[in-house]
Amino acid sequence: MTTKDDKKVSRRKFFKMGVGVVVVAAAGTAAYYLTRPGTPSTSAVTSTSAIPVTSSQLAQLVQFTSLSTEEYESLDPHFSGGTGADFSLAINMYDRLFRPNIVNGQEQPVPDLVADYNVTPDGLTWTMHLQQGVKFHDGTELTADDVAFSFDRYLNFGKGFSYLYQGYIDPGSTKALDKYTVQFNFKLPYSPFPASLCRFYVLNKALVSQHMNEGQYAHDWLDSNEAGSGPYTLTTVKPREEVVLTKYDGYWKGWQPGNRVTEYHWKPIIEIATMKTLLLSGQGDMDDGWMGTDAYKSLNGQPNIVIERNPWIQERVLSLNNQKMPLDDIHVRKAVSWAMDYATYNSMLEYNARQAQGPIPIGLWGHDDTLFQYKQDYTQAKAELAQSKYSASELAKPIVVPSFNDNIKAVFLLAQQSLAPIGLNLQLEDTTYTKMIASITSGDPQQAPAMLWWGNTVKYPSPDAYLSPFNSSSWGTWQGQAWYKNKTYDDLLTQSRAETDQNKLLQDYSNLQKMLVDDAVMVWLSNPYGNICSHTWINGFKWLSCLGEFLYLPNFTVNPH
Amino acid sequence: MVRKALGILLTLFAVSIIIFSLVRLIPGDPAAAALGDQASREQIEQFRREMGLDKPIPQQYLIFISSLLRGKLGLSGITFHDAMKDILYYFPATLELTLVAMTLAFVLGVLIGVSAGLTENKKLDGLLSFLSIGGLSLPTFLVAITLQVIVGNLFPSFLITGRIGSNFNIPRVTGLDLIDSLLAANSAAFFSVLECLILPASALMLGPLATIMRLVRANTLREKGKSYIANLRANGLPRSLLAWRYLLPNAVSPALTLAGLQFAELLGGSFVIETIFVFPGVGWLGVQAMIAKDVNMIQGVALMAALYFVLTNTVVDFLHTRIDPRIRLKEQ
Repeated sequence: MTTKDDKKVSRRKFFKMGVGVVVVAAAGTAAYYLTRPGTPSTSAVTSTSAIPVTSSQLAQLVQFTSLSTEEYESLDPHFSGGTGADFSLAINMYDRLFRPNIVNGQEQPVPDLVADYNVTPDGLTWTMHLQQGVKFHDGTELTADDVAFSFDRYLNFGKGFSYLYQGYIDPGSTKALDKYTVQFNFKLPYSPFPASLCRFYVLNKALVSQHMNEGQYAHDWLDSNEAGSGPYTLTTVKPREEVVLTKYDGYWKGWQPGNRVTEYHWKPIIEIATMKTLLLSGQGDMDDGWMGTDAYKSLNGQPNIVIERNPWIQERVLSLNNQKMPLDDIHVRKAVSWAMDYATYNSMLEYNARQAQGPIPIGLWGHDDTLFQYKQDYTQAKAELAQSKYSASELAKPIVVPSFNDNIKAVFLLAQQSLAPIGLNLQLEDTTYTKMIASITSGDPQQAPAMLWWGNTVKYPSPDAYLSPFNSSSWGTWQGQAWYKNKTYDDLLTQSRAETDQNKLLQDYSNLQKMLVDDAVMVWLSNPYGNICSHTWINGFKWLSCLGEFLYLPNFTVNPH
Repeated sequence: MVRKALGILLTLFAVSIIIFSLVRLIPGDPAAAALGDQASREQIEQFRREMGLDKPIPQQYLIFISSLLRGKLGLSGITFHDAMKDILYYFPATLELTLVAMTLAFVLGVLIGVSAGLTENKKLDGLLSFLSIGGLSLPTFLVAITLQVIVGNLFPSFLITGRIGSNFNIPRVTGLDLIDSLLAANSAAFFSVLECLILPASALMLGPLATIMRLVRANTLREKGKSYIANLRANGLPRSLLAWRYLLPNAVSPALTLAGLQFAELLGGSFVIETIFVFPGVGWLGVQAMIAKDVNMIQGVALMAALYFVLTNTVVDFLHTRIDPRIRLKEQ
């Protein structure tokens, strides 16, 4: 007769079984790791886009992996207001009416989907004729209707760079005159319009319209799908982990011969040590240019690694609160400008960057290279202070500046050291980024910091982007952190937006820049260089400073390695 | 059971009030932080209205509770979706990572702890104790980065980031990739998930492993010194049977309580691991929410953490009754 105890597994047997399971699992793991395929199988890759991945595409797989130091905000191209990660994905999935390019050594907007365009002398009506035969990824043709729909959606959604058009153009005023002609009807003239369109992406109206109830204006749907006509289609989205794009053979511009990227893997790698490991091991092909100079230095000279250094259209400034004592006095601002140690800043903190020359970075069209540049000169600084309306005791009061990370702390310590000899006392105060933003957006310049260190990388190639923060209407926004108020400046800026003659427009920009430099509104510190880490097997990519633009994949070729 | 369920609900209700209040004390404008430095004042105001931040505080709380009862948390300033959708999406990654890490920590901690307690070899015992101190004192991020750099350089094709290899796209059923890959009958995907889990789980489990090992060793030594053990040894009971039947249950019980507490604490440590290994979980999401002052997301993550903690300890209590018959009899 069997008893209950007979049915139980003995301890010895249990341990033996356990050991057996462990051995089998280990053997299976080892077998998997040793024999796993180096290239993906056709059954493993699935497509979520409208155009399925063909077996011929997979047979000629050319994979490219880019590593980003930041997460993307959204795959909805009308959402992001300033993340290179978003732009680098959007420019490959979608097309734009204009895109940035280098013309005569300067970065400018050039027509892309637009074949030709004109603007009325009053600057209110822009008529654009589109390229014909452009196909969305579902095979339908891109027409003026799609452009009008997309622009209205952009304005109604109210995110991204749509704020540029507030007060200038209303939703519903963009018309499709015929299949390939779209007309933008402005209430007020806006000359930066072509440049701003570098950040406006055309969506497939028919496809997006089906999903308008999924989030605001189909945002939820567009966050994990795409409705574009660009060179790549969206294949896989693993939020915050990876995005995979696949080459679209029907791209309207066609494909140049060579090993063009057929599968693009985009990965956010926040930790720099991880990114370096991936680049060294070859699991990552290129970074996004934001690793930090120390990381590039350590990678330089490693096998198969290429570090490219390029001039960057980026402005680094010490922003001065023009309404807060003592910086509300122009002589104090000029004294600060004369006292700053530009040489040390650009050599040590920016690793041999160029000193900035006014508010528009070198390399962007509209930059005036005749502008005055300050050099450290304590004699001049003291002479300016002597003309200040403030007494010595008033000037000796601490100027409190916010410090919320190590980079900013280093800059302010240098500034503190630079200003001490002329009797100005900079006091660093630990704070948080959100607290600092709140002090600026409060709208009260007396609550805002006296000084800020700020970097502004070009997002769309327009001088207006660097000049508009000094318009008094920017008060209370992060951009308006100089709290500059000058009616002549405001009027001239408005005039420049109405200017349709390019030569006169350049003159307006030059005058605006001179005004800001003459008023010493900010301390124009630096136009740094950017570094990109890639590998010897990557060729063809073209450096452009606008955020994310250099990752335009049709330019790349990837040699076997 | 009903009393336990009511207790859980009461705890969550109390947590919701505390978190709701605390979050609103954090300085900064969540709408401005969410939209970034390019946003205009009008955009910020509009977004504030969309998030419901323009309403009085008591009304905001009522909206929050009524939304919660409908399974929503409100608009997230980071993702611009409802925060609940994102939390439910990212939570399984953290759960999977912490479950694997804790399981490994508990099993290895118990085995090593009992072995250390039983061994006559002083050197071995000393070595294991030294390793446990190392595990406690080494910062998790340092272990994580070191493991990643060493393995990534020695084995260039070893997956050191992500939850699964790029080539796999398994249907999401539970959100736990180990289970979903088994449900999809995709063994290659299963092993890919394991490969991705090895390093982060190893880094995360080190602290709990050391703590459990030390506790189990101490309990084993204490039990070993008792007279009934000496009696059993004198009567010829084999060491293995002694360890398995008598020492282990007594040593495991307090370790289980500790494991339950540590399991919930792993949620906090998971942020560092999730960032380093690009493991998109709720730990990472919580920190992003704090930085951006995303009030709805912070509330959601905090409530999720509270639920996680409460449920974990409920499970631990249940397991205690299975392991320790004295507790079971007392309850009966």
